[in-house]
Amino acid sequence: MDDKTIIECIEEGVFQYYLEMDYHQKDTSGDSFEEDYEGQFDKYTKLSKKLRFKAQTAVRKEKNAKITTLASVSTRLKDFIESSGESAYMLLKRHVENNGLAVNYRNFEAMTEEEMLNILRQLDLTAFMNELDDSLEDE
Amino acid sequence: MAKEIATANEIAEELAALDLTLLIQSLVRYAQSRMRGSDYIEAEIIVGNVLEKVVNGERRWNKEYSFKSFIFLAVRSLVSQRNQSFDKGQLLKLNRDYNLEDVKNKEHSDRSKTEELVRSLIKILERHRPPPDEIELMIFESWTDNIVKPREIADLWEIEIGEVRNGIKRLKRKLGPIKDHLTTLIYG
Repeated sequence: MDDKTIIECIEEGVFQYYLEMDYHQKDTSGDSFEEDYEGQFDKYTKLSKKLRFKAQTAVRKEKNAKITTLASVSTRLKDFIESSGESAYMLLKRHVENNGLAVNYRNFEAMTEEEMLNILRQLDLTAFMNELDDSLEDE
Repeated sequence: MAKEIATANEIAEELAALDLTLLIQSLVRYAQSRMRGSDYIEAEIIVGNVLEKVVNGERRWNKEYSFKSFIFLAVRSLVSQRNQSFDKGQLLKLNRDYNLEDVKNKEHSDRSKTEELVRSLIKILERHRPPPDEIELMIFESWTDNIVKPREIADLWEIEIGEVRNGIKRLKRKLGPIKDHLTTLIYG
């Protein structure tokens, strides 16, 4: 009882009780559910369905976001190159220099195809696109 | 351990595997017990907000914790924030995290005084009707010794964990006067 207060210990005891209960799906009929007020079970079941649905929507969004990023890379790269006059090679080089990679490629010019692929795999495309957007806004 | 943020897919999988209805009820009951003086409606709002934010990715699940712990900790921190937003002078100061050091400095300056305080709390507890049974008292004593996990309490007293769980279930309804007493000691 030196560093923890009694009231905190009591609160913690109640917290641990709720925390360690078993919440694995077993009975969905609601027979074992003790309602605190009438209609509680139905209300929480509806909320559960809503949450699961929203979670699925979030999954789809996450997937779509990845596809969109990939799909827009080439168009946006082209736009940027046209407006800035820089080459795609210079852009990539600068991005790699600014953000660093697991392996430090000093001889960027003498890179093999495999090395280039390795870099592309490590690129954070979203960050790269944001970089491009920022550059465009500056102009 | 490194921070690893769960993907939307992993969250959806957890939600599908859990008895969400029961989990929501426990979260609401827990929140309500920490926000004495308020009804279940406010507790439901807090729990609903937490779950909503988890699902839409606003509150990110660091997989260092189990999903269950993450949700409970999120609710606990929101309830604490809510409790702290009330003024000290307000009615709901009851819900604050009291610092017993204040009490100790004032009147309970040594260990025997702390033990005395625990004894007086047990007396208050025994005045409850129906009175706490032997197991409830064992649990309460464990708590005041900072033994808070049901498993540890069961091991300490060599009783079944199921008995501990049921005991806590009964005991938690009887804690009101104890919290009131501690509040009075701290705030006068």
